[in-house]
Amino acid sequence: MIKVKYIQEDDKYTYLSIKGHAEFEDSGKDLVCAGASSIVFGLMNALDDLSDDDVVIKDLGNEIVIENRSKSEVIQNYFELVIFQLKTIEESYGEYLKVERK
Amino acid sequence: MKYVLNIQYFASKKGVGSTKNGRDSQSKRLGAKLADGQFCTAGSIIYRQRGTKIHPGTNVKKGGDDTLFATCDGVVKFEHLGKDKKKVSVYPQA
Repeated sequence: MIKVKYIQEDDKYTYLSIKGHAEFEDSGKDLVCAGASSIVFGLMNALDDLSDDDVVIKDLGNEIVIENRSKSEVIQNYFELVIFQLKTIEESYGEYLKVERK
Repeated sequence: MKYVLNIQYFASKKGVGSTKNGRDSQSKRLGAKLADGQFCTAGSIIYRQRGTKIHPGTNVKKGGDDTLFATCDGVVKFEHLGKDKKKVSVYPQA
């Protein structure tokens, strides 16, 4: 199961972690993983494009961690959108992906 | 773009083919249905088997599916048959 964890402090998203294996199907055919991966890599590139030094992106192998100290409203919107997208997957594939606020 | 999409980043086993195994038939619950020294009535099933793992002895008959059953009331006795075979008999109580 892919586990998504995020932290909001004073309504600001400051941390997002996506970890684990969907186990929906074998690698190469795992649709849930494909959805989650696309969303997360899209976020990573969008954040990277902003080149905000207060955003740290870590690829730990089978976990992506994003730490955000930036006050940028755009970045907050990015986080909000991604969490909504991941919750949409969870809605239909809750057995394979879980979103949790820490 | 800095991060090249790995669309199976959160997938599990890497490209392992699926196995053709994983099937089995329904178990047939073979084996002894009555124990040595146990009292039984005529017609009771004593032993379910495929082939003659256990041979029919006194007052015991073998059914079409090699099942051994008692032909009279009595006590079940598992015995040796020759050097390396076994048989089961039913001896009426005196």
